[in-house]
Amino acid sequence: MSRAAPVAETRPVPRALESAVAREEGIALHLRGLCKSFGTARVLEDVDFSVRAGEIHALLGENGAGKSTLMNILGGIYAADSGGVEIAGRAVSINAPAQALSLGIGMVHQHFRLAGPFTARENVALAAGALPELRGRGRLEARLSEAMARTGLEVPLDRPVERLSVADRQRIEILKALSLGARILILDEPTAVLTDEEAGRLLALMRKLAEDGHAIVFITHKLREVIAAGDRVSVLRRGRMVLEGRPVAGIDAETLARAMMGEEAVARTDPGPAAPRREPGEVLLSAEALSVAADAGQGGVHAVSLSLSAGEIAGIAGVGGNGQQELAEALVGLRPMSAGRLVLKGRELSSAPVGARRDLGLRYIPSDRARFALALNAPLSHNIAAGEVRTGALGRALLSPGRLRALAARLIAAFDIAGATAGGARPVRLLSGGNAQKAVLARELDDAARLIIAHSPTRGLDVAACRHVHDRLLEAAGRGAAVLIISEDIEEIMALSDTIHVMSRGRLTSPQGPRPDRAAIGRLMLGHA
Amino acid sequence: MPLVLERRADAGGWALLLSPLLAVALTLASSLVIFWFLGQDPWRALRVYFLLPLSDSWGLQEVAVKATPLVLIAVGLALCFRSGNWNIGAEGQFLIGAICGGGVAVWSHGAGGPWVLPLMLVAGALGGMLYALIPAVLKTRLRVNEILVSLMLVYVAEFLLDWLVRGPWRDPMGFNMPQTVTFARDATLPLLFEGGRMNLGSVIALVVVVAAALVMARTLKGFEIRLVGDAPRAARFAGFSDRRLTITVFAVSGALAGLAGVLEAAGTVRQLLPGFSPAYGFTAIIVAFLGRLNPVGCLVAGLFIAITFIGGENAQIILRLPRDMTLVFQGLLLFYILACDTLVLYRLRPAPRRSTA
Repeated sequence: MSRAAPVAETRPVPRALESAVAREEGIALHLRGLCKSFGTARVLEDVDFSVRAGEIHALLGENGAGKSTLMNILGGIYAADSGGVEIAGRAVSINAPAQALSLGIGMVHQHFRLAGPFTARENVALAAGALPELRGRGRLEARLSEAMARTGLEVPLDRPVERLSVADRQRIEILKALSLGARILILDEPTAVLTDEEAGRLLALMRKLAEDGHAIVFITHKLREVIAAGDRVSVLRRGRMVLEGRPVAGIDAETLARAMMGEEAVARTDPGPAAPRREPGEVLLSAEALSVAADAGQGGVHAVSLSLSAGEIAGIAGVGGNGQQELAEALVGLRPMSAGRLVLKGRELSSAPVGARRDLGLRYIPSDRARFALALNAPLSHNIAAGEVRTGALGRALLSPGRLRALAARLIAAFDIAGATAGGARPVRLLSGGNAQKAVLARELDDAARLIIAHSPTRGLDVAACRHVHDRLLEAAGRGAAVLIISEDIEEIMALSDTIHVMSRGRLTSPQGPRPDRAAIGRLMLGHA
Repeated sequence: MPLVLERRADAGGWALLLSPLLAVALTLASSLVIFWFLGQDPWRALRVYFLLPLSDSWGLQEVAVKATPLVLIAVGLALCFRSGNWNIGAEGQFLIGAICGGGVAVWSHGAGGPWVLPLMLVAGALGGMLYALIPAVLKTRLRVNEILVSLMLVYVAEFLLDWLVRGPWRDPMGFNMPQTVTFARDATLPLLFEGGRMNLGSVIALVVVVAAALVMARTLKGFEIRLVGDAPRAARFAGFSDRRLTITVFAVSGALAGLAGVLEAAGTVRQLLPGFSPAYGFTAIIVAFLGRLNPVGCLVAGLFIAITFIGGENAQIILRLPRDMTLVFQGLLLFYILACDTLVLYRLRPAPRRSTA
């Protein structure tokens, strides 16, 4: 890579002085006045941000606040419209991911960037291709084993990544970044996919890396984790830094929540009165010894029995990848059962197609909304209508555009979907994560919904959006629907469920007693009970 | 100055319409340069190519005759492609349609009646449909790749036609030429006007365009096609069956290609012979994409491609330019449309000043 003329020459003197000061203070990364727009939407406005070597800097913000854009600029994926990036006091410009790597910026994305069929070793080698100094297998091997020794992380290096658990994949991402020489490590909502215990371990690892002199940027939604693990905290709201680099020691959750959401939102998310206890009604769903055959990389489901009554909310806790996805898909009809019986509203539906199940009121909120629930390039109105359109309510053979628009307008208002035009004509991909999830809810939680399967319904959502999702699910149960929540977030399961089950290695177990405690659930999750 | 491509957040609908128009304009501009290099007067050549076909009734009718099969096939392919099903074998379905419909004509030769023509059309459409169902059923039952199967079935259809016209269906009075009898009057489509070859087929193509546009824009089936094409998983979990849709769109596109085949046989060629199709089924793929997988767009694109065919013939006669010029035009057009599409979805920006620490 060619070295450009020294940048300091072209800069006004005060900047150069500042940079010298920055070097003194050990500032690893400094962003100044970063701006970024997409079309007419301003995503980042005059953002300043700095991280020192040796600290964990938490970056908080709601969905759509601009965190991901900021990180993509650092990662060389987007170019900023204006503003500067300095690394160790030197102005740089990052035009490509490879360049970010060679500057020592390592990213651990929320959705991992690993090639599934390849092993951890191969994935690291793939990424190292961009760095000439790491060519040759021996060097890379040395770096990798050094990183493993330094962090104490143990991962299977020679199995295809797609067969490993989410936590292992995340560890591989971290090892990959370290082996490639990352000094600045950016983790985008790393705990969202982990269990409590795994999250605890990750936070400890982050601390260790910081003590080693790395600069850690920790992006999260969870105030608890900021206070537990962060040294300093910055808060991004609607593209502006509303709180910049405040020491965590002198700050409380209240202040952070206020900064994140603004005053009015905090008042709204205060916990309301407890949901009235619902009287369970008739049995709506019963699964008897339901099994799903294991296939490549997935463990399958073994003889799961489950029964759900009208008005009941049941929760299935568990570490991801223990058969939850397969179970949900088998219930919905997207995946064939290999054995067992499924009865919905008194009708045997073990091999019925999705359509027949939906006609009986089965609804599904999948964990990966972008891939499973939404047509991202289609207008919002079509996405919202996709469920109801089959019933003929929007016109039988000929669809009525008027009714389509009216439905969209009604649900956009009812579910408070921000960023949508009145008739829902804009494509869904322009919505933020929280609002896209609201669109899924708007479609799935209609009046005819009798049995709702919600898989990680709040993954990646901010506090206000989580609250919204939970309220809607409680409402649906209040109307007499049965709700099955499958989630890795124990808090969510415990807060909402009438009955709690735990899924581990494809089997379902239920803790003793009506209100089991977290420890009991945790033990079952690890399969030790 | 280095440039970077950056995705536009707001690629609007108008821009997607603009890009084919821009592509046509750029193709015309480039062709001026090419003509000049070939030693022709560029403006005269352009006139011969693009205006002469439109200047008299004969030319216009010829354009319609060429456009009819292209548009019919492309409309079916557009539905198919929109739903994420890749029928590359329309050429084969076109030939099978011609064989089935032509078979009726050969079989009834000398003993016809007013029933022959309708029966031919039905036989042609049905033949094309059944032929297209082979890849569709293999895809839905056995997960066989439909691109390969439909493409290879083209060659099967070509050889079948070859064998028929050299063997059982050869015209006994045809001096041993590999061709069938010339169809009787009741096995041919009526001409629309004097002094040209435009026939009822063009009207049928127009009706199909309107019907397909309505289906796509206003019906549940059209909604399903778009949803399955945009997000197959989301559609499956909304309760739409993608397998049934695969069967449906293959059946429709096969039937339309078969119909185009029998219309070509009964309306334009009036007999079966090898080399019966100038690869209409493949050119229609270009037409479908040029027309933005939209039925009305296919009509416009089909007419434009037809003009380049007729213009190419004119240029051979009047300017003594090689026939390959037509292919050059079509290639340029495809190139420009891809380029314009990219620039609609992305924008070029000067790369930020490079300075590496």
